[in-house]
Amino acid sequence: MTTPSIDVHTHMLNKQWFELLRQHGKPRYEVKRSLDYPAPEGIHLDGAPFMTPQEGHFDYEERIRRMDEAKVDLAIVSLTCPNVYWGGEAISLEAAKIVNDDMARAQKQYPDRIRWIASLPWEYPTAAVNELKRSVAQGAVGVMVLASINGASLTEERFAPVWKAIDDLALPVLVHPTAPPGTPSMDMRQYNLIASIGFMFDTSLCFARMFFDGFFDRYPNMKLIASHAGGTLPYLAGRLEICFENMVACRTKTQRPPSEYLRHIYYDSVTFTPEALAMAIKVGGADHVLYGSDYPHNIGDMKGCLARVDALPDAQRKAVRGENAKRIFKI
Amino acid sequence: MPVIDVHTHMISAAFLDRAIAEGRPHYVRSRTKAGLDVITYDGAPYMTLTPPMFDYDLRIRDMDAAGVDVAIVSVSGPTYWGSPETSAAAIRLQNDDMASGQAAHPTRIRFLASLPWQYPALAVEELKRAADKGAVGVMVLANILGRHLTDAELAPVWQEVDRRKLPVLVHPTAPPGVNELGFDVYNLTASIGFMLDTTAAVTRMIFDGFLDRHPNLKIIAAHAGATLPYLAGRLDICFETMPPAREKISVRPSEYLKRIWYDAVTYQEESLALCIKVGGADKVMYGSDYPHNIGDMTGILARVDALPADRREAVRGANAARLFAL
Repeated sequence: MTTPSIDVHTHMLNKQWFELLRQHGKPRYEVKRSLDYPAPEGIHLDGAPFMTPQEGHFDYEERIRRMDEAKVDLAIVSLTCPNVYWGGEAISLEAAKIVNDDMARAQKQYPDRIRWIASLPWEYPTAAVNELKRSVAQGAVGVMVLASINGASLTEERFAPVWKAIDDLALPVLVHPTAPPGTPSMDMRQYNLIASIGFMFDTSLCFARMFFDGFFDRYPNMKLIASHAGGTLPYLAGRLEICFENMVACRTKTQRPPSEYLRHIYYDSVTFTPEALAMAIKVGGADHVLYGSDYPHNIGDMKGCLARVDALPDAQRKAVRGENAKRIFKI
Repeated sequence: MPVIDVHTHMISAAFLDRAIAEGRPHYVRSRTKAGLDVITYDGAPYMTLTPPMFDYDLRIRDMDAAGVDVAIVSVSGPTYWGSPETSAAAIRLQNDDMASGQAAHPTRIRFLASLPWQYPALAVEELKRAADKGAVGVMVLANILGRHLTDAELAPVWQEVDRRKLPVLVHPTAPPGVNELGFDVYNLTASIGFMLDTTAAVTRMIFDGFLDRHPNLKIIAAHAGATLPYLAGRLDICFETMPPAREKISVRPSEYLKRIWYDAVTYQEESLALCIKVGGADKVMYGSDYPHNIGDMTGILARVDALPADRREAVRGANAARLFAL
């Protein structure tokens, strides 16, 4: 029997969340007409196209149909950027509750097909920890965090209480990119550069900082999933290693080389060439890569990403299709 | 096949002194607690100076030890600063210093011209002068004081480079946004920032149609294309599904990735193999990043020598000999 396929990187939004963002996202986030046909409206960041909701983002029935077509058995859905990091404490918490409640409902409606990971108001640690507990009670199997929180690094001290609560509950975390800090200076308004390369650097920088910062020494059991096959980390593994070996500044907080951490973290398979997927597996290990699709984003591709996974050698295929996800999400 | 190193650095002490004197407040040279001689950019460590950067005889000895035959040297340090006059004068000193290096070691040293790109008219003048002195190519940093390489003001420089058929090494510097990116710790400028800078510059060249406007331009993307070979599939799917990524080009980004060149400055065999797969075995050239603290003439050459026979010869030197007409 084929191993069931479990999609760990797949998104759902919610109309109420979208309306709340429309009302409270400014000045940074603005909902307006997008060039990204066919969606009528896109979320813009500092005026640049940033995230374009598709109809599939709001429709669980449609999702299940598409999963059937693509032969995806289970989806672990999550919100996406800009998540709930806008609008101040009350709005951020309200946005998280709206989305988490909606996902919990969907899981009840489709118990064999849907699991979900919680969004949290990370900027308000007490509220975040409470919402984490509430979400887990409702069935959340993991947590989503963006790779930078309004420019702040995830290693900042103020987020420690949230990390501690997640660690205590032994929940996996999908680290998902947003526009990286420095986006305005880098001028990524044109050509959707935020999507093509900005997101990849947000994830890469987040994890490189965690490695050198000793984050995983503080949380040795934390299971973090680096989105999009690790951003660019697998290709840069050797570079991180030689920086660690030859630069004192890379060894101030940890004695362990980046290659150990690269073997410690997890990766989804949201990459678009077989070579990149093979490299993520080589660097992270076949037991640390998990099928993901990025559906229903415009570049999301349930079938294509699954076909690349199915083309892997036997032992790797089973692990990446679903066994790894089953193990770490305890499904 | 002789080994030709296309990514290896020298800097003239006179040029550096002026850069530090006039590059404030961005560039500051200081000694770290560990005794390192470093330059910071906006407070974030940017480069560590090492003795062989200034000493051609020492470099030749190290090349002999590593089995490297020819080095095409270039300046990776602070290049764009100062008034038009001071900048142009300092860069003349720098190019003259490399021309002397080449004259002293005619079988071992070639050089890439540095140019005051922030002053396009002066850059064109200096390009002519440097080419007359023997420059075999041009060095450009991946952003010019935050300005994109695709900016219209720089077009006259690119036209002149194009007309002279000189290859261009696109080499990273600190990307714009260093402060927001929090690169002041763990040397993140070096490990991640430089990779971002090159990736952003070349990706923009692709989506902007720049490479169509300059179809004969020979662009070398430093550090094995930074991250481009890993992201090739993503660039393609963005092109296919996002209209803004198709505004100016009509073929897939991965086609452009076959039109540019790459050095072999990467530290794992899988990345070198992927770079060759994406760019083509005729487009990747040995490079070392010597004498930076992460430079490695011997290790990178060993990785190149471990390639299958036909690729090995191409990457060791045949591609560079052809591209630079050596």
